[in-house]
This record gives sequence, C-alpha cells and structure tokens, in this order.
Amino acid sequence: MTALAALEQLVVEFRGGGRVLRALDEVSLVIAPGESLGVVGESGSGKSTLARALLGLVAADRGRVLFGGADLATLGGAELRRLRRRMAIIFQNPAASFDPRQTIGDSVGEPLAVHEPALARAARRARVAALLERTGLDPALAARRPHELSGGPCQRAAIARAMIASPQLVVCDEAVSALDVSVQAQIVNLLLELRRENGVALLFISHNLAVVRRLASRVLVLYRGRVVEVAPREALYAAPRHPYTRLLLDSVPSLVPAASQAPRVPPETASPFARDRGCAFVARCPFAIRRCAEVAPPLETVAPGQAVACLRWREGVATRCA
Amino acid sequence: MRLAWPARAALVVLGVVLALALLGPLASPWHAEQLDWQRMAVAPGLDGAHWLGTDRLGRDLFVRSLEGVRVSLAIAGLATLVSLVLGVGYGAIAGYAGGRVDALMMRAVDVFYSLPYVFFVILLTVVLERRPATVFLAIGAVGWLTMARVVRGETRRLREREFIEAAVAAGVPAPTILWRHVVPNLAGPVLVYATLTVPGLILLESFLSFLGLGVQEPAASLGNLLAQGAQEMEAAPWMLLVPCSFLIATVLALGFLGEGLRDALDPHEL
Repeated sequence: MTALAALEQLVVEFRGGGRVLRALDEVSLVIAPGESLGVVGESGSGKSTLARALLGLVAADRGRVLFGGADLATLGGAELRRLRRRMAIIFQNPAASFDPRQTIGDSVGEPLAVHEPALARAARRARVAALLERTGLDPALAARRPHELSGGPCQRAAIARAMIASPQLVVCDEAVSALDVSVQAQIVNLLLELRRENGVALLFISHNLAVVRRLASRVLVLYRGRVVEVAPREALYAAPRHPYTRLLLDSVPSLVPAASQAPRVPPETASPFARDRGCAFVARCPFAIRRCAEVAPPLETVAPGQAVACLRWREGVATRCA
Repeated sequence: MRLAWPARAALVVLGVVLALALLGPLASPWHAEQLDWQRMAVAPGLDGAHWLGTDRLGRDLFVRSLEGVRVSLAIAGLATLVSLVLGVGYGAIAGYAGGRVDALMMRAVDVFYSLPYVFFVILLTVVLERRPATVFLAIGAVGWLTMARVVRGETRRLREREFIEAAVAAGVPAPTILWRHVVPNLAGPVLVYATLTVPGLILLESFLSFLGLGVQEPAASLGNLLAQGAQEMEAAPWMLLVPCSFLIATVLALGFLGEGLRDALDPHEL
C-alpha cells in the first residue's frame, strides 16, 4: 500500500503571550488512496489543526507532512499550489467558507480557474453546473450569493467546490456538525456516493461518533493533541481499548436511558498549555494508576491496524465495562 | 442598504452644494476674479447682482465661495482617491503577508506618522511652488497613512475567515486572493472611511490655505476666503460668514453621510 498522504511524528505549536500551546504532539497517520479515515476527539483535541497541517495551511514545528510522497515543507510556493489541486477541504460553517461578494458559481469554479486556466469560461460554467446538479442543487443557484442559501444547500455547494478539480483527498472538518440532523444524513450520503464514484480519499473530522461510524472505515482518536487510539471501525465501536474512546462512545446520547453504565468521568479542566509528563488523560481516567501520571504511554500496536496508547490496555479496562 | 434620515438629509445638502458649485457661477453675471469697482465690500442683497455681497476688492462672494467649494472639494476628493489607492494597496499587502513583512511595513507608516506634519508641508511649499497641486501632494502624502492602518487591520481580520482559507487551500495564488477576495470585502469599511476622510481633508486644506500655505490668491479656496473674511470680520461679517456657511454645510453633510454609511454597511450585514 502506497500512502496518499501521511503525517510523521508531527508537532504543531502555537505561540502567544510567551506561552506555547502544543496543538499536535507527535501525531503520525497514513491515508491510503481512496480510504476514508475518521478523526474524533473533543473540542481542543487538535482535530482542526490536524486538517490544516495535512493541507499545508499551518506549518509543522517538527515532523513531516507528506502528500503523494512529497514533503510539503520542502515545496516552493508554486509547487505547493500545484499539489493543492489534489486536495480539498470542506469547512464546518458552509456560509463562512464562501466569499460573500462572489456568486456560488464563481466560488465553486475557482479551483478550476486556478488549475485549468486554459479552460474557457463557458466550459468551466458547464462543469460547475454539472457538478452542482450532481450534488443535488439546481444549477441556477450558481448565480446566487452564499447568504441567499441555507445551510444544507450551501454545504452541497461546498462539496461541489471541493470535488470540482477531481482531488485525491478531501478533508471534511466538522463538515456536517452545523447542519440539521435530517440534512446531516443527506450530506453524509452524498459524500459516500461521491467517494464511491470518484475513489477520492476522505479524512472525516467530527466530534459526532455516529456520523464517523457511517463514513469512516478506520477511526483515529485524538486527545489533547495526541493519538490515543487508531482502529478499524468495527473494532473501535465494538471494543474500544482506550478509556478516552470508551468515554466518547458512552457520551453518545442514547434513547435507551439505562444503556450506558460507564463510570462517571470528570470534565476537562486542565489548561491546554500544561504539558503532562505522563498520560494526558490521567486526571480524567477512571482506571488511572500511579504509573499513568509518570510515564507517557507509547502508541502500541495491539492488533493488525489497531494501536492504542494506554499503559493498561492489556487488562482491557476500557473494553470490559462495555 | 437603507440610510437613516440624517444621512439622507446630508445627501440632499451635499447634492445642493455640489449643484451650486458646478452650476451656480453660470447664473451670476460675475466671475471669480472679476473686480466691480463700483461696489466694493457691499453687503448681501440684489445690488449689482452680488447676491452674497462682495469682498474688499469688489469680487462677487457668491461666485468666489462656490469656486472655493469646487477647489477645496477637488483637492480633498483627489487626495482621498490617492489615499484610497495607496492605503488599500499598502494595507492589504501588509495585512495579508503578516509576520515580518507586516511589521516592517507598518513601522514605516509609524515613522511617517511621527513626522511633524505642518513642518513637512511648509518645507514642501518652500521647495515647490505654492499651487493647488502642491497642497494636494502634501495632503495626499499623509492621508493614506490612516487608510493603510484601517485596511491592514480589516485584512488581518479577513485573513482569519474560512473563505480565504478555502481559497488558499484551493491553490489560489496570493495576488489573486488579494484582488478577488480581500479587496472586494474591504469595500464597506473603506467606503465609510473614505467618506469620513473627505471632510477631514477639506478642513486640512482650509487650514493650510488659512495659514497662507495652501491655495494662493487670486485663486479661491474655502481656506483663503476664510482668511480674508477674518480680517474684515467686524466691519463686514458676511465676508467670513458666507464661505464659512459653505464649509460647514459641506463638512457636516459629508460627516453625517459617512456615519450613515457606517451604520448601513455594518460589517455584520455584509
């Protein structure tokens, strides 16, 4: 398997007011062509930073970001722009991701205008109209401005923009989180269909585990900038190995009240600036032992395609109470 | 976009002043530098068709004041246009580039800011001829600094917006992003600021001309008309009041218009 994109021991830090916030802490991941990888974690876990680093929108402080075998940091401006034809991003807030002064059609067609400047305007319009139709929109919407569209149609247009230059990787950063639940399902289905048709790889970032379950064949769990667990979808949802994954799964609201009897976990209180010597989750972990506060758990491969960063994974602490 | 009533009233006043400035002199039998030897320093009235009176040399104040409005507005308008082009270009580049380039460019603006302005203008008028063009140059040299700051700040804010990030992620080159996404979205605040700049620059021009550094006799500008009027203030108050009324009407109207535009173009509704 040759990787389409990869992060290698990536560290991204933000500095301000003399403090350093480590948003990503030695994160490694590999995305295969056509794969769909989910990334979950709570707010502030570094999900969006991971998306932006993968697209070269934020610079790596250490480690490497590879796309198609090329290290993004070593590319010149023009080379990086050319590479960007092969990737795209869909943001959480569809209305904000369109220029308020441009028509939807111009925004959707912009990647084409940049990467295929030889294409005549009429041909570009036709491609935009065809793709708008494919994403379930009336091609006449091309003449509208973003504020005239509501969330669902706007996100469909954002998907059209992401797909128009036929990328190999589309990063969806909370792409359905701001939408109505009924609209969410439609957008998720659209993404699944487009993935099947075009063989595009998806990196789907969300705090909503139910949505990730529909979309991703492999899931990566981030906690405070660290990968705590990576697993194939079935393994992760059936038998989580990390206590934090357990917590996330138990936090999914259920219509059956007594379904979850997981131990109560205190909310996040630690400052994002604090660096922990041991496991980042130690303060909230119901299974923490003394060693957890002293030793940072390495990400260990526990099964084919499955890795977890927990000192007590062998005891199955997170899996057992399922 | 809907303007509040003070702004709409200001628009009417501005329209009347502009129409007068452009067409009014045609209605009068006099022109700006013509002397009426029979009627020097006459008060406003119908005598000899000097509707707003004459100055010490018998020149018609109606025509001269309107000429002054034209000159002052032209200088302020042109200087605003220059500050618009320079300020938007400079500010947008600094704001978009960010980091060291931004710091360097904005420190240069700070240095220009800290130059003693009147001293700078005096130097300029000594070195160059005292013509409207010189005044225009002096005003333009300073007018763009604030515009550059406003635009730079606005651009920093825009740069954080997702649609800019989307364009970067799509591989759009930086100059294209600036031209197609940043500058059009600056239009609101820039329009408001420009509208508020014009009256400031009219006052600046008047101030310079009042001090004798600006537009020179026999050419008329609101500033040098005020200067002459002030000398005759006790004997012939209309010589001060006439150009003064035009100045106040123009500046106030532009001010109200700018405020109205700012409210109407609230960035949250853009």
